Amino acid sequence: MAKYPTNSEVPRRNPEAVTIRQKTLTSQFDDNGREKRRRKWLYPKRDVSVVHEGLTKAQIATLYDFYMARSGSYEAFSFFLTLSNTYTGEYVGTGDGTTVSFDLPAVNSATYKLYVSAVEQDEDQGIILTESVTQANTTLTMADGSAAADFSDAGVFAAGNYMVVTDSGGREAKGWFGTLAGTEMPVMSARGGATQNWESVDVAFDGDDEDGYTVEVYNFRDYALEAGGGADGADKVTFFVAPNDGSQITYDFTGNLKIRGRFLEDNMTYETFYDRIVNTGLQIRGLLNDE
Amino acid sequence: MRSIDADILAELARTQYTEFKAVKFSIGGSDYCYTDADVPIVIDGTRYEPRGFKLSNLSYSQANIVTRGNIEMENLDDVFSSLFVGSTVQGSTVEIHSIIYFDSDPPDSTIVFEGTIDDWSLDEERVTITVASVLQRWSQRTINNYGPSCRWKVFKGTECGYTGGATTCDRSYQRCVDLGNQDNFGGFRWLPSIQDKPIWWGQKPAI
Repeated sequence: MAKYPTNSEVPRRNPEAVTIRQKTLTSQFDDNGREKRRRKWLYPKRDVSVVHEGLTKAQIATLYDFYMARSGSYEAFSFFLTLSNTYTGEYVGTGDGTTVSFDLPAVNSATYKLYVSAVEQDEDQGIILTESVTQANTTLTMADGSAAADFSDAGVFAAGNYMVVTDSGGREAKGWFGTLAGTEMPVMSARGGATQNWESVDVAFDGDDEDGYTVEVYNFRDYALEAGGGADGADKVTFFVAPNDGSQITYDFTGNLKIRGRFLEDNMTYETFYDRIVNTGLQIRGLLNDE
Repeated sequence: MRSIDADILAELARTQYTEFKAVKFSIGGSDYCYTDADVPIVIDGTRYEPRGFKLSNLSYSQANIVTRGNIEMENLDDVFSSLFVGSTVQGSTVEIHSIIYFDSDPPDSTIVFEGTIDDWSLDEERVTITVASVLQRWSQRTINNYGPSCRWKVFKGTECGYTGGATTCDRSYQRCVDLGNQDNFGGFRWLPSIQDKPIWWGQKPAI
């Protein structure tokens, strides 16, 4: 994996010229004035033409070294557009039933939505409640400091959330929230399961600890997003359950688009390369996000 | 006539639609499935990986049966090199599918052609495979013709096996009996008796 030098490292003309490529077969039998069209790509590809401005010799060398390190058009790399924009339905990847982490075609993601087979996914909020509970407590105090828990906080006491109870010796009991029934929240052994029990209880967990417990509630949803956590500094998504084999993952977001690409040309003299980067534009051939 | 799902036919009749081709090779007990789509596609639990290929010359015979087709597969990563060079792939099953993408429903496919690998050639960039219909076996030429007379060309030869003192043979069964060599008789002496007789499978038809 490699990343094209950023705008701050080597200044470039902003915004970059981006050409969107689709592939459509159109019928050649058009004597009747009608035509048939067949789409051959599900997702578009983007070609980029980059022009740099006000370069120093060192910055030119940086670009040339990057070109040489890619072996011309051989090795793919990531290119981040300078201008932040809003994008819809960008291809992330295709699930295989086991892979849970995917690099997103974005960095600095904001107001985003993630879809698996066109179904919007819920984002994981991580730990949403941490409380110390005394031995005498039979209820939890809410994170906002309000009165003792009455299970009215639907965000915390929601089916599918996860609870970890730690005794004073650091031993844990873990389980999933089931469906609230009156004032009782059942703990289930599996997410969405039917068996009311702990998922796991550490050996020697003290069920009557006079020093009290720490209770953490996790909002485990469909996925967690890690800003800049992917390859080449792209944002990364990790699913709680691996998307099914063949399910396509798409992403709506506002941010800087990441384009996977490779140099178009294999053969260039240094003079030609210089002409490309300051005048006619260095051509980058776009690929899909998972290539 | 080939039976194709009505939803697929309806989609194909539209002015604009999304269709991909797919090929499935069954070689040595394993399936190798590829599509010319830009992303992987899973249909009925079978995952088709993107790979460049071209289909050409699906030829039809007078009997309206596809007899041969050519597939040119991208092989820059040498996926097929070890598979084809290291084993005998002739006779392996090949299916060519048409995959239709619907606006809302999951994609579906129909088989366009199926056959077996007949011959192939390989170079650095591609493997070219000729696929022959299994029905082509009906029109294969035989290497021998069978008649009521003995068909061994050489008297006292390897197939004849006679080692006695006789010097001539008229290739009749009676001569073979006279020479005590009828176990090696190379003809089908009952053929004249079934010539022009009706042949049926299963129970004898009522006359």
